[in-house]
Amino acid sequence: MKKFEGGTTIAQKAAICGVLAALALIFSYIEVLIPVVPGIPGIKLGLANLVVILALYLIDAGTAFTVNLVRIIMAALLFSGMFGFLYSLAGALVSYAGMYLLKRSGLFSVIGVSMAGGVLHNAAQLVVAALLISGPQIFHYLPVLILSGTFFGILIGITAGVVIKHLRQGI
Amino acid sequence: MFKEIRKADILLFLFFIISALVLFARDFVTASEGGSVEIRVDGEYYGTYPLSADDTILIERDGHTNWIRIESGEVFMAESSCKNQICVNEGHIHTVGQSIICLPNRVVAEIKSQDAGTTDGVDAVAR
Ligand SMILES: [Zn+2]
Repeated sequence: MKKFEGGTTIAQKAAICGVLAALALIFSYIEVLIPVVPGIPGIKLGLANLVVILALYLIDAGTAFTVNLVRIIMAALLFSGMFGFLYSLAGALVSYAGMYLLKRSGLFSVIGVSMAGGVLHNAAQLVVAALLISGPQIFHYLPVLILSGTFFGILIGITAGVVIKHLRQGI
Repeated sequence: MFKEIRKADILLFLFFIISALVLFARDFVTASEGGSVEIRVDGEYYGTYPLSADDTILIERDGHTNWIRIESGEVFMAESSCKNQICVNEGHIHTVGQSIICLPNRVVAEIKSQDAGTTDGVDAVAR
């Protein structure tokens, strides 16, 4: 079992997982309530992704994956429904896979990892939307979603960097 | 620990920005500016008018009237006798393939390319 600097027990890890999953769920709900750009689907701050990144960096990849999956299933049961489930599942899985690989490569900072996560998340959701509702004309939105994913991904990445630094010092 | 921004971060950033710009540019090129507007009434060809000259076209058919206005290279339905006024609210069009349709009066105005616009002189003379 991996450990924080300073050492962590399984109980501590389980507690942190629970807190992170709850936090991610709250963030998902906030994003359902407040669309960043009304009218254009898919533009999101990616607050929930902040939690996944924190889990990925502070705990381990398995925990990050679990937190992500628990959040999406809970969100589907509580507020987003079946289409919302497929939509966020696609976004979350693709962005998780991308972020995991980039982090593992060791070439990117948390900002680059988060940025890739934001773009992949948006791109995957666009594919689901194209397949399930609109057809290919929705790819018209792709450049806007790449830009928004990049921008918000960087913001989330900077935030994650600051939080990681302080948490590691604090623990 | 908060790592510094890496070279790979910047390369990935540039890749995303450039991809987005290329996609924007492609959209822009595909949506080329029109050269003329073709009007059809009751499914039949009515006339073609260049976008380069401001003009107002009055179409009267079976007691219905439509005023189609060409202004600064754009086309819009200025007035229509139709009940729903959807055509009037459709706004201005100017790129190839865009159209304004007045279903009740069966009037269609569609933007054509620059090439179609050059035959317009002939049409104008023939009328
Ligand atoms: Zn009308």
